[in-house]
Amino acid sequence: MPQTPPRVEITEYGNRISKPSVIVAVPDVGLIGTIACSYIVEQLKFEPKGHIDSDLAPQVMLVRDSVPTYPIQIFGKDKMLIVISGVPLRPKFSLELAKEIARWAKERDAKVVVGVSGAPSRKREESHGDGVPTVTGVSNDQVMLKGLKAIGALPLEQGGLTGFYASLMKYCMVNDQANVTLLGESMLQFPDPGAAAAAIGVLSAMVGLKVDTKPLLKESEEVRMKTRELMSQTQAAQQPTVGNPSAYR
Amino acid sequence: MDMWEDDEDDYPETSMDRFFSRVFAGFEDPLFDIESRSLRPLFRVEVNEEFVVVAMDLPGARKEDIAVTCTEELVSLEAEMKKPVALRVSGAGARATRFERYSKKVRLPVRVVPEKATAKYKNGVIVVKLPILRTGKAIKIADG
Repeated sequence: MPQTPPRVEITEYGNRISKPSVIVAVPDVGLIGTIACSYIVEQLKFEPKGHIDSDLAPQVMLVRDSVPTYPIQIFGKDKMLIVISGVPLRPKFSLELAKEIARWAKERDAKVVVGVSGAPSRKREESHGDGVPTVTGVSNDQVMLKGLKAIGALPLEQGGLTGFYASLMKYCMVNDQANVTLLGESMLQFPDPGAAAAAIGVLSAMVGLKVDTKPLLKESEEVRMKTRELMSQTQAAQQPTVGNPSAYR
Repeated sequence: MDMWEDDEDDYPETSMDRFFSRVFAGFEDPLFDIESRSLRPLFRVEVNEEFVVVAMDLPGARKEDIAVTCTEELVSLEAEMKKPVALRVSGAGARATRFERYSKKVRLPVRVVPEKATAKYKNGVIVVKLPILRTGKAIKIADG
């Protein structure tokens, strides 16, 4: 008897944004995407636009002002949707989630799907987070790929991705959906708001946002404090793939 | 007012709270000890050919307030924070708990030479390098 595929359900609220740019962040190296996208949502006052649920999702609900919310939320403003997971993803769910987001983005006629991730860097740890971290990018869209340099990202010429963002890239390609993955040069196993700020700089230029990252850098210590539990849980969730960073060159 | 607050009974929400509480689930957490008001720092241990490298994330600590000691098998760190920090941690109710220090013992995967250990601290990250103890002696190989 054929098995029923695992259910991943995307629910949207309110007015639909047509032809959106979809930005996706799940916890991984340095929590780059999570920090960057949470900051954008807060700074630019994005509105809740939906959530994602699945039988495979961790058994977690968030409670905010006594209101329960799903751990994977969709926020939106203008022509943009941001998907943020507040929980680490186990590999099986990670795969199915990437597949469904790519399918949904295509169905919604998305202009581009941008994954925001980190590239673990020993150099960044050895320099104790000093300096401006580089951001590399990879895209299946030739125009976007060529435009990366102009917005401050180095094209990833050789290497590979693993984990959620690799699946997101693959299923975007399968669906003929434009995809860009940005990789902020990150501390190896610590939250890295500095790298998140660098990623925001490139992302902003790519999708036309105006985001002041100075407060994020100023409050860097606070951010590191408040995300340490999530960082720890993310490492635990990724245990089966220890030794396989999300990006390598 | 920010998170670096002395008064744990008065903890108004900041913008940082808001954007992380939107996305942060708060699991059961081994990263703190309420009784001693200490946080267990995130850490990473790496062994290369010559050294064991131990890195710890200590946001909010000053170099002069950090004490690191080591034996052949263990690195211990105690650090006072420049200001107490109020954090909501799972298992401690809805109120923020005040933490004042970091405390961590890291058992090393191989024995090291503590006398030759070095440490560098900057931007809230400490990196301790410990030369690996070589106890074996080379064996001369005779012609057959």
